[in-house]
Amino acid sequence: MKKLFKFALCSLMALTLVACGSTDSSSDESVLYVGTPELSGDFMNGFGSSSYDNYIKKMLYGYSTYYYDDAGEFHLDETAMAGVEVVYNDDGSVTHTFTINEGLTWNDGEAVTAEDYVFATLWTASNEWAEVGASDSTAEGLDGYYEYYNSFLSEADGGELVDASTLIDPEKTTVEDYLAGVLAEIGQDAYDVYVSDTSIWMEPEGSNGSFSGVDYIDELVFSVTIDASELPYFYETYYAAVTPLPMHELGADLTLVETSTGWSLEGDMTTAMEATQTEDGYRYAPTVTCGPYNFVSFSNQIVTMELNEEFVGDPDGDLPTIDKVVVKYIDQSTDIDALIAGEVDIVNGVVEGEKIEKAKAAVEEGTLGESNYARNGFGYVAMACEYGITSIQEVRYAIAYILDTDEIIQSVLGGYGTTVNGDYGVAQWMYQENEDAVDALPSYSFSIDNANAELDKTDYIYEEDGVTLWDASLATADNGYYRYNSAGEVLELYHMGTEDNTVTDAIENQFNSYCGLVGMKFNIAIVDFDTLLSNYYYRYLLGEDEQHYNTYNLAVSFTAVYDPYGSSYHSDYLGTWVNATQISDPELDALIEDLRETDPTDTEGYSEKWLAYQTKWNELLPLVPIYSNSYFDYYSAELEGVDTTSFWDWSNIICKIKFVD
Amino acid sequence: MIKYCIKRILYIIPVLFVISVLLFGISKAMPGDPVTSMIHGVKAENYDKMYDYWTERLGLDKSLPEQYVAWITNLASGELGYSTSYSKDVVNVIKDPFVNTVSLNVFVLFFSLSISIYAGIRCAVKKGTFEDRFWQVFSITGRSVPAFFVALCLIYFFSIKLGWLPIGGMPVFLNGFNFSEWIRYLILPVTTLTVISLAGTIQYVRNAMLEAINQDYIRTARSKGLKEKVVIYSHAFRNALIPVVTIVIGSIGTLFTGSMITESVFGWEGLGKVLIKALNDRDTMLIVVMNFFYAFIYIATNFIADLLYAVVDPRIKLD
Repeated sequence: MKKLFKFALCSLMALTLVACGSTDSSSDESVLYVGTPELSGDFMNGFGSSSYDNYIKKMLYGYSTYYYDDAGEFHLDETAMAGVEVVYNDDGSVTHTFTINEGLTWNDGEAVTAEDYVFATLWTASNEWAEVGASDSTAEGLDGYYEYYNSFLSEADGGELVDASTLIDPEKTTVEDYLAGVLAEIGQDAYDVYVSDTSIWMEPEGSNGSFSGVDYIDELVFSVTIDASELPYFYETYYAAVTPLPMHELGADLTLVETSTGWSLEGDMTTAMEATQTEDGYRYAPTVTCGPYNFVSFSNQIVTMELNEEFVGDPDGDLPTIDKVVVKYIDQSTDIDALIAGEVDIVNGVVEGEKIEKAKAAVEEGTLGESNYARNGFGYVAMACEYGITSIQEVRYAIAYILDTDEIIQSVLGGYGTTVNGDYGVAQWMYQENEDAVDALPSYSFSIDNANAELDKTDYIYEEDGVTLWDASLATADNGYYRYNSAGEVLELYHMGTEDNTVTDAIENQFNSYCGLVGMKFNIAIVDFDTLLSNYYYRYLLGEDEQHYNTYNLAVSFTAVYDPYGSSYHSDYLGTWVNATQISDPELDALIEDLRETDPTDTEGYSEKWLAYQTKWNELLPLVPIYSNSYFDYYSAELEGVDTTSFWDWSNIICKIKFVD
Repeated sequence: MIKYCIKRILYIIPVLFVISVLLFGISKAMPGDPVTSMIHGVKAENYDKMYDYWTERLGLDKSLPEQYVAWITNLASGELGYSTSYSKDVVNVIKDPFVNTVSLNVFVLFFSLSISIYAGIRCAVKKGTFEDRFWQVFSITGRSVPAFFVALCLIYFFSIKLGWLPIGGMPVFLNGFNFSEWIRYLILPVTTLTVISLAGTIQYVRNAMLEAINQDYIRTARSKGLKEKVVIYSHAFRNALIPVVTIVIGSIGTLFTGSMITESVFGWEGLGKVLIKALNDRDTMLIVVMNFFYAFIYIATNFIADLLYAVVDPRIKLD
């Protein structure tokens, strides 16, 4: 036994000595290590919404027609495209005809051609693509998208589909009549028809469908046509942004054919797409790409990429210089320690005050570099505008007044943040142009008196007997002296927040301290993030007796395309997850429509409409903005060119990042 | 013996059946909808269609008994199902973490058993001495302190302050497998788990040895003039083996089960970390399969322990 013990101790010492030996590195290769939270492993556009997976995607895919710059503005990628011709058609549609530069190749040496762009559009806009779980396509704005996708989708216009055979609408249409009408409208009858409890949809029998919005012209030229109904659209170029996919890799058994109604992929698309879903399929291991780096491997939360020798440059013509990039999981609580210890070279998106202070000390010592920028978004307390007390505007104001946002910014973010008065990020150029006007909007700063004044305008002005007027001077944080309405209902707020979240903790503390002072009874449920998302976004699926919550704390980050229509507040999306607050206001709808329908060249007009939208939004207050963080990226002092912005993270500028000689 | 084995195996089948029903039922009773989480972000216009599509594809449109039968049939044929949070087959999700967990726990098992058995025997033999008291205090402290605290202390001293070892994560092998790099990343999680598991085991071995040492046959052995080493290791320890076998076999079961806390703190991509993510993401299939696997391992190790009792103690008859 003693021998075994000695053996164990000797083994331990030997292992320790071995461990103190050399680390895994090669002297000739430059390797960039980037620390990140957990990756999901979806490296094909269309799958996964993780921004960490997006780092990898941005490194692997390249040669898009349009790209957004460090300020979020769209431009033609002149490294990939020799030019674009934009034609305004008589029917109101717009055609962007692109000419690809010669000499672009995939990393396997095959030429990048127009076929790859057309293929990518047909592939990602198809019904089959959605059926393997993909959700991303910019092709929705193109002419003929919906016909190609379903090829026709309908949600029983103007009526309510009760079940598979009952449709209630003002004209008393039956499902059968409705379908007959749709088929007559599209002039075809050979359609597969599907009916669920809430939807009817059809697709051409045994066909992949044709897409009229994309056109293959020759090996180097192709075009996309934006549907007239989508125009004018301020972000028109976004619809014309196409990233190529390798047809020779993904669609080797498919053929691009021209039909009378557009272009189609002939062959078994379902089988081709299912092939991308296997363990080593393109979705998880995209080996044939044309971005600055090649995918090598992903396992144990470590992605390894190596330089793509075939890559001709980013939109500025810059080439990557670092041989290998390794993106690996590191625990967020110790990421700055790992950076200082040299285990990784870049840690980005740091927001916690304590970590920022520690990193700043290292910056002062010269061991780290820093890049900081405003978050293009904000954290908020969202309100269910269709339900309970938060459906009353004055109650929403009162909730805003009892949240001390300055205190939250200090306690949670260490002061590295600011407040916003609307649905914007301070990095947006629209904000910068309208800064004074937007900052002058009501900020609903912490005020118990104002909160009580707002609540006094509602029916919640009585004590429990429903007769005696509620007296603010009698209320304390915890004496249970609540407001009631004339129907005897107590003013009661149900909040849902996520566990292990310092913002939730701060909000809970404030509600606990201040709700009582305005006569509001406060309840909170701390749940995991997934449960919160289900409750917030999909509460419209719940029955009345299942819905309990009025407020939720979450955060949003805007993309370069700022379009409140498709992202939140338009009543077209009532009863869907998109309009999660379920706010409905005709004036707000009109402002949103007006904003998105601005001519792309009219930036001044867009800016004015944006301000009008923010003003109305601020008045309706569907959610309370709490903080807009400052983001801090830290990197090894051995690096240069890490000039990240609100729109560009390190992966956007990988060709500009270099090790100092 | 063979008859006993067959009987025990036959007993295991209904136990596994009951466990499978319970696990499946509990997972279905969990709040949240896996399809909703999975397709969140799908365009609103396509949401209903995609919801129906994935509900049907995952078999969630069927009744619970039908879902159970489909699941258990697939499980029996080696198909572990589809993970909604990873969007992969469960087998592909747990393959690498399984290897990582086993490789971590092999070291933990080796060090914790060899150190604890030796220290337990020494404590019993040298009862009341400084060495005994040291291990007693170590044992009580180890059992009282949570694993994450030990882990954070080790990270603070050995990684942050001294900079000797990595803070966490998995080793990167750019030029093929590198043993020393692998060990560097293993040392802290192995030490954490070893310290935690040592604490209880030392106490267990010590008590078993004390009981054996106080038996008459030990006094007889000593009076016969046998060397103390022979008395302790050949007579006392062999008789103290039965409770020790329980620990050893139980520990072998832990080879295949991840430590959720320790793996998470160190970012070690093992089964424990996967299970935490599965729970957070309401990935019911992954949760059920992993827990069923743990239950199976537990039952199997108990069975093996029973068999080994008969091997180490001829007085025990397996009928």
